[in-house]
Amino acid sequence: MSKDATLIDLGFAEARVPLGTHACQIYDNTGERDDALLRFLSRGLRNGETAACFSENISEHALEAWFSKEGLSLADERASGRFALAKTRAVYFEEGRFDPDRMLALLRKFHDDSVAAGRPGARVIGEMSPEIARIPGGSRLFEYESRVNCLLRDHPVTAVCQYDAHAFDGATIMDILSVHPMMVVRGAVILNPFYIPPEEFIPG
Amino acid sequence: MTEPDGPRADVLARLLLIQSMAGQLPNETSILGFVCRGLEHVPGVSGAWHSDASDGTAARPPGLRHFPIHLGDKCHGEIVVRLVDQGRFDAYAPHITNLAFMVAVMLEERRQRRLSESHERELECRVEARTRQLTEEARERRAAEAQAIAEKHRAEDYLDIAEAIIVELDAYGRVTVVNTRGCDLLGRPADQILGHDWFDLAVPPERQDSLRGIFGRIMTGQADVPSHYEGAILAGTGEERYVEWHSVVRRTDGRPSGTLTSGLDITERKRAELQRAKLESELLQALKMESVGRLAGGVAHDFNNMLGVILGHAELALEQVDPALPLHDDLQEIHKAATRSADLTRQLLAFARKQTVLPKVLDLNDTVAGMLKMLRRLIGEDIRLAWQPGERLWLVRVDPSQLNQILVNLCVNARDAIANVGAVTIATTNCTLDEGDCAQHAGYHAGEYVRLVVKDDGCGMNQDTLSHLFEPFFSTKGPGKGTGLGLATVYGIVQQNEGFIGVRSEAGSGTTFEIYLPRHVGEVQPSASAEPPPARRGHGTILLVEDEPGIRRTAARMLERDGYAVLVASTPGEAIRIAEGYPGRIHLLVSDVIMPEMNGRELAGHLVRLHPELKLLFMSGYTADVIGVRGVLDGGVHFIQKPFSRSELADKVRGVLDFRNGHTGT
Repeated sequence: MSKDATLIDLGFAEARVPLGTHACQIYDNTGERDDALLRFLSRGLRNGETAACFSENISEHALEAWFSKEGLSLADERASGRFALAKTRAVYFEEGRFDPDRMLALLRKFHDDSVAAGRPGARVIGEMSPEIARIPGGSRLFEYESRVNCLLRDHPVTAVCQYDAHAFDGATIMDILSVHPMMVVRGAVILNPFYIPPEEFIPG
Repeated sequence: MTEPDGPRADVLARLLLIQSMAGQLPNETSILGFVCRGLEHVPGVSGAWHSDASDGTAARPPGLRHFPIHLGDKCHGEIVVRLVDQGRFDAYAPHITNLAFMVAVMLEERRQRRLSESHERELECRVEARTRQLTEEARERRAAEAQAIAEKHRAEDYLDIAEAIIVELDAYGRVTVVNTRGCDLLGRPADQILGHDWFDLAVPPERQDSLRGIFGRIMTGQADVPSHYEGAILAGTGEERYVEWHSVVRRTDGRPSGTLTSGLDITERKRAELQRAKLESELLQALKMESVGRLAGGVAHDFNNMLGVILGHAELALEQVDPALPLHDDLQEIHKAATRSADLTRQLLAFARKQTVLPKVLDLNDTVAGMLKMLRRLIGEDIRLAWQPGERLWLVRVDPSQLNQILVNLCVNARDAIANVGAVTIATTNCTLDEGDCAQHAGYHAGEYVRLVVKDDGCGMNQDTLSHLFEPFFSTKGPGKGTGLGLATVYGIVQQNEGFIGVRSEAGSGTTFEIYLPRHVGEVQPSASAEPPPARRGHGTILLVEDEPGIRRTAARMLERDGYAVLVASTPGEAIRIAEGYPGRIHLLVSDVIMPEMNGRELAGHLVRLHPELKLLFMSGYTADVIGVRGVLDGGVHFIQKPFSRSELADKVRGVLDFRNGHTGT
């Protein structure tokens, strides 16, 4: 996949963005969250992309209903390996700790498997749990997010990170914005003016 | 150092973005934290934080810039910015001031929203509490209503099963409560009683005004309601029922507002009391009559003896006196007076049931039919006599002469009750009385009877006259018009024949006498063949036994005058001695019945053994049971009623001596 040449539809925003976009969505209510998530996934699958969802809060029933409405079959997509669904804790806090390196390796593999499958792209959406503040390794969240930006340059997975505005304090939210090049504001995806490139965010 | 081209667009964009996103954050702390962290991206800023201090006069350390967050008089502290390059920062200061203002707006809006939400929550809580309270009150009210309804139903059930009548009236006499017993008695459903005037519904018309007046005085406090009283009400059947009432006055605010009354139907008890009183009265009357009868009988007996002497001597004297002499007239007057007196005593004896009777088995229809001509003459031409014989009439056993006395006395009574023209009806019918029929009348007995009715449409009798009707010498006629013994005679005759008599009469509505004679099961007794009147004089020996000297002498002289040899004894013992010593035949014993030592029948028994062919003739003015039961003679027993005339004695003696079947001494 070539990040530079390909624009994709995120499903929940009008504008198309480059393949491998890394955006954050600070959502105010669960409806806003679920709407973006469902549209993001179904759009990717209809594009033929590989899609993955890491969330504690979305139910398979809601996914199945949405997919069905979109002409997709959750079972088929999963069976074919085009779609993966997992809980946030299971993915991010395997063995009870947050390991940025492991997560980056997962992301890299996710991209490579999609390419190997001949798919035009790969996308992932995940909701971070505020529990990360108490998880060993949780303080490396922003490091991880910043290093994702580096990874995505060569492994362009389109990633959307969802954060609950009610679960994280304002300062943390600003820090979250600092490590995401794009941000979702009132349903639109815009360049994040608070973004600090990883070379600046993670010195050395 | 300053921004060479003014504030950078990307920085301004950040400030705008901060302002935009801050509004999405949930609380003041998050907003301020977000804003302050965002301000760290402004050139020249090394740090930013929120301070609650709002006093602008406080000393401010150098290197810090303060941006108050206030809107009007509402202050939310300030944002403090640490500067490392004031020159570069200054270009953004106005924008940050604007940002602080927008944060103030946000926070104030949040505060207002919280206040409003708090007010709403408080209002909701109050509404919820009030709703709970109202719901609970409604539930309690429903429960209370349900309980009240249940208690009302229970009270209604109590009212309905009560044997007593329960009635509640309002102050105007309208019915507000009535129970099932009351509805049953009035013969109406409750909806035709409730709300209606009680006095119109239930009180007999003649009492409505007075009771309504009493009720009105009670309701105005001028009178107290009697706690217990009796009164009549009109039942649904139209009859009057007697009720014993118990009432209390209902009061509202201390003033009478109605009455609550319970009543017991005592009609049957009242009727029983009246019936008992009636029977007691009838019984007393019967006992009185019995006493009077005994007295009358006693008087008649003694009187008869004297009359016998007077009549006998008057007859003997008349035979010896020249009819042209004034003495003859005097003697005749004496005889007439004595004869009338004898009739009186005869009636008294009949009343006292002391007449000696010779009953026969009769068909009343035949007997009455034979008397009709005589009765029509008796009552006169202006009064129609109707005869209604009953069909297949049962037989009775009665002395025809007594039956004659009954009809004569009743028809005379009917005639005298009719002023000018009218009608008398005689009727007969079979009648069977049971215990229930007899319970209504003292002296009635159950059984089969022939009822003889004599009815007139005359002036009738009031209750007072009826209560004395059968008393001897009682009369409503003027002096000299009747002896007052006619109905007493009828009464005595009926009683003597084991019957009873009833009378129904109302002043102005005529009178009906109903005589009940016991049914006799048997055959009609053929009339004795008419024998030629015996000859006045005779022959033979007669043993005369009489303890009364006057009667003895008079009778002996009469018999001797008629040609008989008379042996006279004053006591039964003397008679036996005479009979034992008499060598010849004694043909006839003429004996009084009641005598010292032994009665006439016992004497006859002794003498018949001495003289088997002896014939018997008893005489008495007072027949005891010694001759026959209740004075009723056995067949073949001869009797002559005292006082008797010479001819009556002569005829009787001749008849006995000529009687073929002779005597019976047993």
